[in-house]
Amino acid sequence: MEKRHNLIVRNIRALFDRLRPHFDAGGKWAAYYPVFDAFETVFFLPADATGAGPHVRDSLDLKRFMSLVLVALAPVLLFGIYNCGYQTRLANGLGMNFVAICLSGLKIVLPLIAVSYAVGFFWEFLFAIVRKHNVSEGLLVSGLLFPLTLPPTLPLWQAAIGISFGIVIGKEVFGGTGRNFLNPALTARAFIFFAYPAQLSGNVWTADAVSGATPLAAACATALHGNAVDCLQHAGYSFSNLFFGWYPGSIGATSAFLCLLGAAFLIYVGVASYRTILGGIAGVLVTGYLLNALAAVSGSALPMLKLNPVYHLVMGGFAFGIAYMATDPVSSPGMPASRWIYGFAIGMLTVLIRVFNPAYVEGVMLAILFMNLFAPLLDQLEIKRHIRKRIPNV
Amino acid sequence: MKPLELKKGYAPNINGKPSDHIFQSDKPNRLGLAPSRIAHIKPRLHIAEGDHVQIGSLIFTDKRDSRIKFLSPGAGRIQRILFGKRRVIESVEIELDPRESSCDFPVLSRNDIDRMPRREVIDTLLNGGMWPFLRALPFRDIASPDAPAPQIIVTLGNRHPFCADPAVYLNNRADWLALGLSALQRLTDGAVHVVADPHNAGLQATAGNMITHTLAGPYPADDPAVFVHHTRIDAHANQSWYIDGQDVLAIAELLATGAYPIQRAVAVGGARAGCRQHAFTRMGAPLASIAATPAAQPDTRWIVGGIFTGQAAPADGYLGFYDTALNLLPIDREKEFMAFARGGHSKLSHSKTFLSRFNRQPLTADCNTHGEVRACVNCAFCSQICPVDLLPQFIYKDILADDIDEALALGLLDCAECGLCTFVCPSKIDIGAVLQKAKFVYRLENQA
Repeated sequence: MEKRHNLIVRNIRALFDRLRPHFDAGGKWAAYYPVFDAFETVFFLPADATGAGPHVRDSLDLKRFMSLVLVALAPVLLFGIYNCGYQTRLANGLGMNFVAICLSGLKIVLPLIAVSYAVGFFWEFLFAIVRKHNVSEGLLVSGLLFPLTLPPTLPLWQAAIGISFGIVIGKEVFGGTGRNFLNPALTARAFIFFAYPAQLSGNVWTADAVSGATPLAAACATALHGNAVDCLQHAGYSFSNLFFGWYPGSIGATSAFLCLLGAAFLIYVGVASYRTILGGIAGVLVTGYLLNALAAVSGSALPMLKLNPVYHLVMGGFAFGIAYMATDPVSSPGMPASRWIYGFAIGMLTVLIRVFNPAYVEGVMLAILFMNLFAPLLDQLEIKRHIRKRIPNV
Repeated sequence: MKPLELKKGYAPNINGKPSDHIFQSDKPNRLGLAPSRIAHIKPRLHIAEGDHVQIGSLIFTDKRDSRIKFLSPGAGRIQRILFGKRRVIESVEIELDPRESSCDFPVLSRNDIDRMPRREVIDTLLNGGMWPFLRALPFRDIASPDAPAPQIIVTLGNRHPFCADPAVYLNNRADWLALGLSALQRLTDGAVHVVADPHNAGLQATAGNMITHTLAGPYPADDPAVFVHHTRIDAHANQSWYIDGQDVLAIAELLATGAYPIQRAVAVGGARAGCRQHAFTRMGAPLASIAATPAAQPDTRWIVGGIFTGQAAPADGYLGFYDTALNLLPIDREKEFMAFARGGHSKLSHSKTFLSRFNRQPLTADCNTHGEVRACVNCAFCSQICPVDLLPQFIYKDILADDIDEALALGLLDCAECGLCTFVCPSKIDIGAVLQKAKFVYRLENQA
């Protein structure tokens, strides 16, 4: 086994070594070096020695940093595939055996992911070649986050246009990974949301001609019943259903439980900021309870006002957004206190949009994008405070 | 004694730590000086190849201030002067006489020093070749002999892996430390702070009564900038002078014996060092004479100084003026297969992203970057480790945007130049070098 493994490694190594001269300076494909480098560095860590500066460097590089987000996304992805298959077969009245469910799910989810990565990497490679820099690892994450936020029935061409917009307009025009101020995956998702609203309403087409209201749509449409929780129950959404994610919705965003696990992992390894995540949860709860109080004082008939805020945490895409989208370090603030405020504001805005804006049933996407815009300002304010605290040395 | 503590910084658990066993190296047959390794100075040679020098003869001065002298650590014939690119003086090699003669300097007691005018104390140190041991924050250049020091910080520490343990070099020489400190006291109207690691029991036993501050914590807790950051109450302390404990002993030796001090205690460590121990050797000794390892060992980096901020030297190089450490680290030439997806049980990392966080065994540090350079993703790892609470990621961006005012307001000049921001950066950006260069350029522009 060990021997066979070594043989494989040696052969891959030999393949890259054979190809390298063509991509090095002077080679016939020298312009495409970034593509070669991107593939080679996936398989083999470069063994470059340190030059100037500290002789010793940390073993962590951006590839591993980003890969850990993929690890945290794995449970959400696997559950998403299963749930997609389950909901489709349920809607179509098909048999429910495990393998069949998984296959149905894969048939829906894999093409979306493949399109997202293929189109995304096309743009990444194109910009890397034109700008003559190496391909950054940011797309590893964006390319998977984006399909997980999509409804399973989205046509593939729309997904392709969405990821193109997200990568090119959300990121590359500003200079690529690290220089984008919006989360590219959310930018892509927002583009689809506004360009093709029919496919991204609160109603998810789980299968041909069968539509089911998402929990948020159900909770919003409660004028008749008067109580959002009752209405959710009526539509078949119990709290535990919502928490564990057994309902039709975006591919990866339904299970608050698995998002919680992913968030815990990311916090544990230090890739995501716990400040953003806890701030977001606090924002939802505080705003939700304030609105509950408002409902009691004003006697308003708006049912969403009275909804227990804990439901806001488990409904829709909030858990997914706060765990994986809001914690994107590039588009979120870099200072500790700013991250608290940023997270809190995302939670608050999510609830406000859900409750008061009848046009948009889901608020987390817009809340995060909105706060992305404010991230530099929040940082700037905290930096000013930081400067005031220092004893000057000029 | 005020207990201080550094909360940030990093103490890597790596193998190659030198034992406190002392190995007395034989007298080498030649010595060398390495002017190009001394930061900031512009050396002017006062000797030529073939000249004969004594211990304590003038070898070179600093063109910027010719009173600053560097003297010969040995007696013999100047065998070779080696120039590098752009006529940088890389080394001055001295072939030692079997019996070495030395220049005489005045022998001064503590009373003499206390009674001398300050100017004479300064001249004694300048003429005795001791002045370059005194350096000033924030630029870490040799202190100016014309302005008194706001305060002087004496650092006694070996938390930079791996530098000479003060308990080793102070053993039986605590009297000299006291004499040296009294000389330093004459150079300042402020205080002379002696800063030590509270967890170094040997040091507490030998020099405990002279320690004024303890600063607990990991690397770079021994750095004077870290001490200033923890004690500063006004901008006065920004120009503090500092000196290493072993160099205070050198000053004391010059005063007490009237001879130029030539002995150095040097830590020899790192995974590739044959014998990890302390060596008592000559200043300017060939590195090979203390490394106890074959010089031809491939893929090994010879670092004089600690593993973070030490300088790379050739295996046939010499121990420099300030050097108290030689570390030999491996350079890994193997391109590791799918490294980003492995557990990493033995990978050195400050982050929590490898299984090595559960590994209590000392790990092997190598001289590899472990990744390619990428754009900054604002992960803030650098500001989480910075020992003087800078925001390196923002200062770095200010410098790239040419906003030097903002960089200064954020404390650019407080930078301890410890290299930890570069060490942790997952995008492999040499942030520390960008900050150091900005400091350097700022100073040049202010002088003009």
